[in-house]
Amino acid sequence: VSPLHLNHYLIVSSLLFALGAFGVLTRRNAVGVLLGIELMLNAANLNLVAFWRYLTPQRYSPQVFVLIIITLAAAEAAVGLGIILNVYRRFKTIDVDYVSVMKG
Amino acid sequence: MNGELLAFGVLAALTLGSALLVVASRNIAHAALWLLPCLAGVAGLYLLLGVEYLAAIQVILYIGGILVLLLFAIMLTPGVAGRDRRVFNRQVFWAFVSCALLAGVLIHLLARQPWEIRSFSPPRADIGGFADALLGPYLLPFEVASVALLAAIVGAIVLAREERE
Repeated sequence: VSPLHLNHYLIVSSLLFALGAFGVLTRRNAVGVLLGIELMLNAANLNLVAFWRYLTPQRYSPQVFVLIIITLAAAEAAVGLGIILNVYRRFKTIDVDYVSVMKG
Repeated sequence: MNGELLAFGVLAALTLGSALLVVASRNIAHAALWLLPCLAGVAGLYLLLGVEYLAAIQVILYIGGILVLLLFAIMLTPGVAGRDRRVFNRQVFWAFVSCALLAGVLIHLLARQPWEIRSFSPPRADIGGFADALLGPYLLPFEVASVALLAAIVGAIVLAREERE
């Protein structure tokens, strides 16, 4: 019997998610915000795989979820890159504190 | 059997330690490079959970694709890397408090939950069944994901294109 338990993985993914959320909330560089989002997505994926391993080993849906999340993370990174390049051309910076022309 | 626990500890420390450096590194290029050991650690945890093909997908797509894309974003915005005087914005204190609270509450709730553990030995994750599921009951989400990826690629090209008169 394996000494590992579901809770081990859940604790790791909770901490990973909180670290990612901290990065998203505090980073001033727009790429840093994207890095934080990647950490949060990875935490969610780890959660899904851990639940599959311990609770529903006969089903394939968690792995399909993980695959689709990774695909959409790639899409998000590509669109994020395009937006960051555009912001850089217009403002000559990608500091999200200065890019606030749409702020009411 | 203690080797498994040791492997888990090493992988978890690798993942969380490098995630901390991703968030806290002063230089954004270093932060992006620290994402590599973090993603590799998550791939290792996938291996430990018994899904080899998801670990392979993680390495190929995340490390080979998304990380390189983010490094492109850093290199195409010159003058941004390596000169950050202030890494964090003004809400750093309250963000830290709320994220620490979030982690605490999540761990507290999840650890107390009486999970019905179904499998005590590692289940067999066969890639054939996964492929059948992907092209059978989950065909529609699979196709929607590929269309979304195509739309994102076209959108990224349109957004990043330099306008010339």
